[in-house]
Amino acid sequence: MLWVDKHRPKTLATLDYHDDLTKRLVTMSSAKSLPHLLVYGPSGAGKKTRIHALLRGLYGNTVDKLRLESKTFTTPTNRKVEINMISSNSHIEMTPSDAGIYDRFVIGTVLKEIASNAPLFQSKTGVPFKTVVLNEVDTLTKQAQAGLRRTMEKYTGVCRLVLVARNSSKVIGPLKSRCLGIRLSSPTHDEITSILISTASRENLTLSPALALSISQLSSRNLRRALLMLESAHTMDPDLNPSMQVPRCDWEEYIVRLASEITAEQSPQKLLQAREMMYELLTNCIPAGVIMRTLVKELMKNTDDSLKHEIVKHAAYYEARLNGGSKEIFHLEAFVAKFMACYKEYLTNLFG
Amino acid sequence: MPNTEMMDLEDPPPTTLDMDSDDDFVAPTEGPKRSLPWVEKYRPKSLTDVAHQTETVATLTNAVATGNLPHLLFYGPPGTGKTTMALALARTLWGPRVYKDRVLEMNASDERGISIVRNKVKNFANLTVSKPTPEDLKDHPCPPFKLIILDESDTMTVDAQSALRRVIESHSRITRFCLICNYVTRIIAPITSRCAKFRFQPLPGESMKGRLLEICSGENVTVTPEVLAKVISLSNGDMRSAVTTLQSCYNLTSGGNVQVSDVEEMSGRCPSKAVEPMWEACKSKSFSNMQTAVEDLVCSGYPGVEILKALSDLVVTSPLLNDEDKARVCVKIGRADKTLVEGADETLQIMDVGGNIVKAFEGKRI
Repeated sequence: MLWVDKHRPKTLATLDYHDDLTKRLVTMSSAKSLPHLLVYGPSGAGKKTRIHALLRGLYGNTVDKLRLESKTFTTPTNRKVEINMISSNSHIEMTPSDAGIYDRFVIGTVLKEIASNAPLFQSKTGVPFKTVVLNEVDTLTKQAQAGLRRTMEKYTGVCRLVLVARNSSKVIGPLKSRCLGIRLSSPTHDEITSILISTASRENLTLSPALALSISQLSSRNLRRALLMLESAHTMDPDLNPSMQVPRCDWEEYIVRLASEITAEQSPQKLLQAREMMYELLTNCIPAGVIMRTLVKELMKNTDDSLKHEIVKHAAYYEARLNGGSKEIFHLEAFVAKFMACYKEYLTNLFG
Repeated sequence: MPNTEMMDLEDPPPTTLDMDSDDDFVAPTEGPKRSLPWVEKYRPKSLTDVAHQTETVATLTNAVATGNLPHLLFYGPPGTGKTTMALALARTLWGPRVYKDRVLEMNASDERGISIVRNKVKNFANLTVSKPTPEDLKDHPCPPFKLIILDESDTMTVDAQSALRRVIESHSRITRFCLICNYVTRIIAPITSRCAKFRFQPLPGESMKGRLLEICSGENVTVTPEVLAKVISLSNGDMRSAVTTLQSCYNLTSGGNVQVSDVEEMSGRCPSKAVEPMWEACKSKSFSNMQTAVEDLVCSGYPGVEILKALSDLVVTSPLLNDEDKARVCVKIGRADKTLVEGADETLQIMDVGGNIVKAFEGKRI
């Protein structure tokens, strides 16, 4: 088992940071009532961990008996859609956006099913409703989100929804106004450092604060990534030598190389080479958005302030188009070409 | 005791008409106790109870009195009482027993493609109305037509809307339509020209205050005037969001004292305090400072659009920038907001806006 999962806090009492929020969650779980929730925040901030702790507080041990179901839905147009969901007797967790454009139908069916199987008598847990956790609601279609509006109100009595989103800008206003929003900010470097050290000590290792801090900085305040990095550092060097180089993912190294290649030379040949590198990344299932963000971060590290804004401006432009378009490589390539042009112009202005 | 909850939620067989809207008739105080949100519990039941929309109320009351109701089109921002008004109107026209046969409510969660308009809506529109019993006539006018409420109709496809055109006309003898939407521009012109249009305005502070105080006294909650003022100012005239915010604050503090800061946190808005470090970094005219500030800001988890909103407030009120720069920055903010809603990356977009603000402070042309 990975350390991330092994040392994940199981109950509300053992949650590490955001104490104010934890207090509120405790109030909710002890009152055995839950409004619809919208939990949002950057990845690796602990959204899922908190939701599971909350569910455990609400329903007790029943949430631990999980089963993985693969359900097939037949849409009105006779298409078959298969969705995997994890469920226990008191909750269901699913990612409806897996169903693509049929997400609205899947959500509706699941909620109606729960409503029609509502218990006549109070269950042993003393909670009169089931909870449905919907992951990645920001990737739901607008139709599915609009469909949730009335559905949410109608079935309030028998089930509560917990919506999880990374980017809540994409959740429509009517849904937000029906939910209690819970914002989770990323843990600070101090918090990550102390968690890393305590995790290491639970594994009977000693981690120096300096190394913990450098891992934390590399993780860009993403706790999950920090823990994964700690574990991979441990496999490289079982003693966790304070002076060791923290290993980065190889795709990150690859993007760093790409960045240095295109800053070294700006020419059509180089662009062709860059395209090959980007194809390599894409075929290895690195999302285009991640490539763009990492590349921009690398490019900005060694450039002058005046050029930085140019880079960000074009990156923002091409990243936005990347989301609207269908072929990712075009936009990535366009950005690299644009960067080369800007950089070349900057160099010519500088040296004449 | 029959379980009303179960009956409400039964999925109607697909051949019969969708009548599940009758759960609005379950009074919250009776039947099995269910924890209704305050928004549902205090939804106005009669036309005159609806806050603020006096003109619409007057027109509709008049229409009810004369029994001469046009097709209706309600439009306006969320939380201004459109659905409430439609339900209240139906409730005033028909008593609970007749209501079931006379009203069809459909919203975005129901299938509403062209086939549904052709079958379900048309079939319902075709039905002749039954004669009301004297008992029904005692309290309600029971005019001889049916009402079809199409909620959130701006999410209907253009095809479905076109299919509706002729349906509206040919059945107008026995059926009235009530369309509800946020954006009237998304309803095709042939439909809007067939309906009497009513615009619902965002609620002003005073009428909201009265309403919220009523709810507070109904729930035995005491809130300070400052908290109430904050709730109202943050809701921007959206009654539903005001009530939801109030209830969440109350629930989460488990009935204790609600603080102004709680309200800010619950409403999901980005307080100007959070944007302050970025603003200061922009003032320092250093792109790198701004960059770190933006990275921290995004890590704090505030929604990107809310950050932009808070930022635009700072830009517009800043005495340090001239009008032209302000306008140019606002254009950039608007563009970033659009791309964010379409799903662009928050860090890059906000950093781009930040870069423009830095430029404005440097006195460079954006």
